[in-house]
Amino acid sequence: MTVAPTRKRFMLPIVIFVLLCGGVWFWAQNVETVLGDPTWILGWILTASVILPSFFNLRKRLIAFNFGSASVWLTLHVASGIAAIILFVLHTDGIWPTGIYEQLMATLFAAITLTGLCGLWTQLVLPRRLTETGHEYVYEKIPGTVADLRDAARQAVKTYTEATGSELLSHHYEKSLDWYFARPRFFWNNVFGGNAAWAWANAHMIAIRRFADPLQSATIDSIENLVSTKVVVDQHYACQSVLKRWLLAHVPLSTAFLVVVAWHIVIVHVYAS
Amino acid sequence: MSAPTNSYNRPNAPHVCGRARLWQKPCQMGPKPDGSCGGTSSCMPQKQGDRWRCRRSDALGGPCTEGPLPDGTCTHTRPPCSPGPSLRARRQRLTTAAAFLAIGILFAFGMAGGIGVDDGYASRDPGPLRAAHTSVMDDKGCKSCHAPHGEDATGFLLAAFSNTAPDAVANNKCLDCHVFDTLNTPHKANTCASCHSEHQGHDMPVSSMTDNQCNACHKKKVSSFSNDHPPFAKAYPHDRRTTINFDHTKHLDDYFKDQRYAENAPEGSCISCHDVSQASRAVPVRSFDQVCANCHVDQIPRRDLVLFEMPELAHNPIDTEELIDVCRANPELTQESEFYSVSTEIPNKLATLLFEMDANDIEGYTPAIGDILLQAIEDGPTAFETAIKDWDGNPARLLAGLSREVIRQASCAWAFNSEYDAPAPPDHGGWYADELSLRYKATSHGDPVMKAWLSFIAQLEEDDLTETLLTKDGPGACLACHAVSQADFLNVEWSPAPRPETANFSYDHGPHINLLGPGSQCETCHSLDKTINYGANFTSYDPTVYASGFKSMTLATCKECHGETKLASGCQTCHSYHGESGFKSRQFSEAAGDVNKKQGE
Repeated sequence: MTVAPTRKRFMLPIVIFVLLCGGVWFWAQNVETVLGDPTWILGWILTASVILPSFFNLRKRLIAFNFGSASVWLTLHVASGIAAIILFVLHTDGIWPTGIYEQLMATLFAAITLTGLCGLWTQLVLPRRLTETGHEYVYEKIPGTVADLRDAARQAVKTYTEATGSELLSHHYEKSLDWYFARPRFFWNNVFGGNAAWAWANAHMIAIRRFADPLQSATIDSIENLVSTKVVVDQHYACQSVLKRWLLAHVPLSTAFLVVVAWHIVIVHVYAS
Repeated sequence: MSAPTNSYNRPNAPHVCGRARLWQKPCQMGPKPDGSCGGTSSCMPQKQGDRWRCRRSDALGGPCTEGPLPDGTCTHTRPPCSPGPSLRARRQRLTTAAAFLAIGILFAFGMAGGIGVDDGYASRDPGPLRAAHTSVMDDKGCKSCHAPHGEDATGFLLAAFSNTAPDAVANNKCLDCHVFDTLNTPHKANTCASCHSEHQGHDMPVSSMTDNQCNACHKKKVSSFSNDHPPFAKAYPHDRRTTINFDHTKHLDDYFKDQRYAENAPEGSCISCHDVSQASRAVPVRSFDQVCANCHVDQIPRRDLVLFEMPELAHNPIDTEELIDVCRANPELTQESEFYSVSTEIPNKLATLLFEMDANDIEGYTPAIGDILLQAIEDGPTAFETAIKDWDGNPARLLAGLSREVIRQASCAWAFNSEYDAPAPPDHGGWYADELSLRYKATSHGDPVMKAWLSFIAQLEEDDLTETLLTKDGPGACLACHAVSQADFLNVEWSPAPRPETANFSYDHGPHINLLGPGSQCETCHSLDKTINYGANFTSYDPTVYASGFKSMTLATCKECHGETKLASGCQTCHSYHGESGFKSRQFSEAAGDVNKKQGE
């Protein structure tokens, strides 16, 4: 079993950052052993580990800030984000805060961590799955593609009906295929790599072939191709949607967290520095 | 992807076609920059000369055959769609909303409004204090510990650049209430917050130290109690004799088994005398009445304190005719005849010292005795009071209960060279006079007058007195049990001497007794050394020169339970970082004063 290149790319930086966290933990233990207080320095290191991932967003937005490739930044983002989890536990001694604003901060951090880990999972798993489909679809063009497939399917059914005079296929289309071609289906099943779409498609195509006129097999083949294409398009839509939409949670939560972090820094310097 | 077939779709575009959102075929031109539909017509005809030319793209079939209308509008029109925000635009909106929501929450909960919280400090309050600290904050609030800052935003922000920590070295607010020996202790942490963090809830326990923290500074590293702990001192835990001359071996092996005393012997073992219900650092002995009185209570009244004994006089020092009325004496007693002193004794040692007489100089002390008797007849105890004061004694305590009439009548008799015809001695003790002496009989154990006299005598440090009175045969038989010890000065040890405090060490008998069962395992640690004559320790005044009646404790005893077992065996089990600590009493007195003031108002 080989490790995918994307995973391999993340592995080394994560290991390095985790080792650095181990060093920080060792240093903090030594400071506490001689009755020192590592909280302040731990806090600033944690702040740096939280701020560093934010620069990835700048890297994507600002043309002038094109230092390093986006993939390197993504790798740093993931590694420092995981390091931030460890540093957060060290900074708080693993104690859940009791103040309102500190609970808000901790809750936001937990939410960022959760969404971040979900995002990391999508980055590691879904692109490879999309590549394995053998096709490429631009996310923004998928609605148009779905509409084209739907029009083509309807045209094929119409051709069959005109050629055979049988309403068998048109009735079947109304009862099942119309639902299928209306929009992307089997969203979460596709996200988690299931085969429900293929199973559904095969079951219906077998049923069509069983009762269809053998002389119209070319038309049936074209409908089957359209259904198969739709399965792949649905996979692309589901996976690309998750790849893009998890940021709808992660980025706003991160922004709110940075606001509360800024307030925390002010407060601790006003009252406890 | 050539331009004629490329649609408007771009990830960065702020809007997406409304038809695409309904999974219909999106129009080629897409929404306008303002978000309105841009696909109501198939193309935007271009005027060339005096004619309009169709510009429909190849993707839609190229220029149409109908061509534009005369006014230049497209022939092929359709109803507008409702474009929606793109993912990017939605993310930007959510991000902005989240930032403002966070600011709004911080602003609402304390920075200004204090919505839903009483004190208005919620967005500045990192959490509740420990319950003990909450109760002492009183009305000062945060200022009880934190340095105040300016009320406005500028003052608030400027405080970030000054040292406002409650435990700042220059102004440690913790020390307003807490008291530690910060001078003599080697434990000098930089800040309190190194170990004691606050604002973590009412029930958050105080941080405890780890063995590693102890080993970080101590040269002798102790990995575990069972492996590396230094041995106890040679005589541990006995560093001085007890204040009571009580020989455990003799009592347990001889007296309690002697048929003469067996019925008085306490039942049970150690706990019949030691009160385990009060066990803490020590296990105190029950009271005299509970454990000693059965055998020793009769010894107390047998030996009186003789304050004054009429000595032999060389001649009659008093003009007795003047005393006939005062003493209501028989005038015949004043008739001159050859003087034969009624007493043949020398002055007693206590009176000799008090009145500074030479007991061997009868010619010298005879006038002094006369003066004493005359003053006693006229003023009662005054003569003795004056003498006691001269020796820095307290006559109120020493002469408590001494009847003026008793001393006057006895003195009258002695002034007329007669024996005092005394009534029977009091049954329950107290001052009384017999034929030729003024005495005090102890009323019971702990008699305050007898204790005062023995302490006074010890304080005088006169060898004649201490050698005769501060002995086990002395008055009240007090010193048969109570030790006389020389520390800074000679004193009678009336109370148990607490073991000297050992810095940063504590031991509690309580849990051990509770665990093992009262009285069941005392001998595990306290084993009698029956070779020792414990009474011999009390021949000297030095309490540290002695041999314990118990064998010394060793680490092995403790390791039986606190070795490689699940029982606690870390440094903090017996040792503490701060040692003795407490609170400044003034803090509470001030608080009490404030309460009193409020009540007065």
